[in-house]
Amino acid sequence: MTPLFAKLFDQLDERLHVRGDARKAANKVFPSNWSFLLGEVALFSLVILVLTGTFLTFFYSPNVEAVTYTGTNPVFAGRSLPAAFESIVRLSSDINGGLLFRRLHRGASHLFIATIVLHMLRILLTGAFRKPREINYFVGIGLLTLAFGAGFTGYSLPYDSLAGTGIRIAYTELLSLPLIGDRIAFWIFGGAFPTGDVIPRFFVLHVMILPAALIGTVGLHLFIIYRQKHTQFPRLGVDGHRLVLGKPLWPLQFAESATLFLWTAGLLAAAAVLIPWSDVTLLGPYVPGEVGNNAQPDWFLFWLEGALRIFPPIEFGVPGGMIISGPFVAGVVLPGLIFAFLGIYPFIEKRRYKLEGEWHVLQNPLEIPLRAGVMLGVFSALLILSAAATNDILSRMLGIPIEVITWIARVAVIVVPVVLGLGIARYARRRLDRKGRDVPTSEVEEQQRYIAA
Amino acid sequence: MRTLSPPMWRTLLGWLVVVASGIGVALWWAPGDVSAQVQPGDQIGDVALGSQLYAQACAQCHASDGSGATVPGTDRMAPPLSGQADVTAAYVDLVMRTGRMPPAANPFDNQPRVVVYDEAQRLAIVAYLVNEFGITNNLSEVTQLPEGNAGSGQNVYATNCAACHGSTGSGGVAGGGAWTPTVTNYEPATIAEAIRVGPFQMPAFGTDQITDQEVADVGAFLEEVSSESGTPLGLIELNPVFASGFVALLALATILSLFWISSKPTWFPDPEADGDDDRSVPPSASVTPIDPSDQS
Repeated sequence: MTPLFAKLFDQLDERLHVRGDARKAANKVFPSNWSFLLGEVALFSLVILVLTGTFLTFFYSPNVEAVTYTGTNPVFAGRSLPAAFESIVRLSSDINGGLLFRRLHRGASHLFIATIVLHMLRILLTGAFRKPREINYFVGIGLLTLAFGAGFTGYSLPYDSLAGTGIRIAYTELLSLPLIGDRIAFWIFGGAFPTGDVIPRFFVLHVMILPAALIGTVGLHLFIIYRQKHTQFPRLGVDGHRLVLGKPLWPLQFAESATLFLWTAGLLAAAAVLIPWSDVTLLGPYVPGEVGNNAQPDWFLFWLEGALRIFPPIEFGVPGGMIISGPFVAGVVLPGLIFAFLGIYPFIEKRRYKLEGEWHVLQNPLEIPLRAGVMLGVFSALLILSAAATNDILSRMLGIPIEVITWIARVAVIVVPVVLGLGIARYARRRLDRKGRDVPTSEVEEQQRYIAA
Repeated sequence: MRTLSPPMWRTLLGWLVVVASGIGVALWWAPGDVSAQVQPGDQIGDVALGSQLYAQACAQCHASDGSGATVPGTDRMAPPLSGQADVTAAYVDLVMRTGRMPPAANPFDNQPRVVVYDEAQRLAIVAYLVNEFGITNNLSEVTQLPEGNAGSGQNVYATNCAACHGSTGSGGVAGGGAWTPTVTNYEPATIAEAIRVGPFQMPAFGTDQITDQEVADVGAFLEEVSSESGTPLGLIELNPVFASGFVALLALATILSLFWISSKPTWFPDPEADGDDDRSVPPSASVTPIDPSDQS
């Protein structure tokens, strides 16, 4: 520590008595692996999102009243536009740095959700969700849900033709809820679509409620990690069940994380210059009732869009006046099942293999046939559904009729995950048999192999 | 300065004579052309050239009298060109200037089009068809447009065109193995012909549905779309599908950065393996017991 910093720290310590806690925090050990930094990148993206989002909030107007645009964009000059869209055009064409900030914000949102998803994949594959980390695993699922919500509301706010189409689909999904759908949709949208209320409401969600919830939940996530210590990859000759090996927070991990933050910001800035993430001039304002030929949500909702696209157009009544429709099954039941699966998977695994005690060392997913099979199955299904969301683009690029692509996707989404899941589970089982081992039921047992080696 | 040698000087004079006589001939011909017009097609282009080109490229499938025939080697019918109310000069012009014809390919597939004829050749064929088969000459009626306004054009486009051609004119699917074409990178006159004529499966829009002014506006909007400058990578607005590809690249760049920042990636060492398999030697590692009460 530099003398100046030491002096300031002394002054602070004399008043707040922080030396003991600070030393404890500085010695906090961070196991080292590139995949442990994915969550950090997500955190840094969130910081960049909050900073750029604050700038955008200064200029965005959250309503859809018609106003006349008087700026310099030649396509919109003198036109009457929804105020939300008008403010986006103004941000993009007339306000210095506005387009850069919009692209940074959009790019950071993509990186935020992408790193959350990759981070979750690492947690699921290596078993970091096991006791005692179940609570933090649930907090993480909550974070993913909040991130999806923030992503979707953010996609909607510009009120361009894609955004309006997305809101329309969300409205239809709410309507599809049996019995209570029309009331829920009315409650959230304040009337029948399109209403003037939805943009102001999404705005409040996007700039207040969801960010506050995200920041609070991230705080909880980090606090729990701090309490519990991070998981680590196994090391030969080390009892990972009892000891954590890694870099101390101060100064090594701090230096690494600070580098990573600057690097992430630089990567996003470069991407914002090169990639027009969020340009909407050509999309134009949303005209209710009109949908462009190619309308997709952002990538992280492709799986949902794909399910809606390939689910057969069925609708049947259930005694009692309920109507179950395709959009309800594909757009509400399916995501519900997937999130329920995420929630209960740790308990399925625990029960299946009679797991005992605490687990602090990460596992190769091939050591647990059930996990290898289920994860590959579920994620291949999600990828196929995501591909189905691009069926129009695929059809155009490949020259295959869209109906054929849709049928291929319908068959593939059922067959491929089952084949891949069973295949990898069988491979994992054979691998264990070949080594003459079984799935370990406790970490103490598992670590014996590494200590002995 | 070097002086020009006599042969070079003579060459230049020779060229001057050639160019001057070319201009003279052109000036002499131009008024003669106007005075010679007898048939409606002569205003459009060079009928003699058109006759020649038609015989070379079109007559094989559409027949020399324009009555249509089977496309050689297939069982597809080439449509008749003469005596058809909907085959107009604008239709024929559109089909050639967007590269649908020739060669005779499936006009609904997803293949890129190759425009074969330049403007003079194209107009020559149109002129020949107007004279020979008596197809309606509506070229000037369709393509002579007022000044377009890109802003109003976007509204007209959103309500009339986007459902099939996509919000930014990128084209899309029409179902049943048909694709709607990309409509950017065309002149407003081409757009106007398509709107009025309704080629292939596209409906024709009359002046009661889209006025001439609105047609001009759509043309201006699509020109604006085509002239967007884009980022240093040449990208203009991204469809979410293409954006997802760039998200994948961004994620990949992030992962590679993580490899680099956190040194070598470590995976799962294999205790059963012989030899030193452990690449995960902790260099300056601190060690903490997981359970704080564990003091061993």
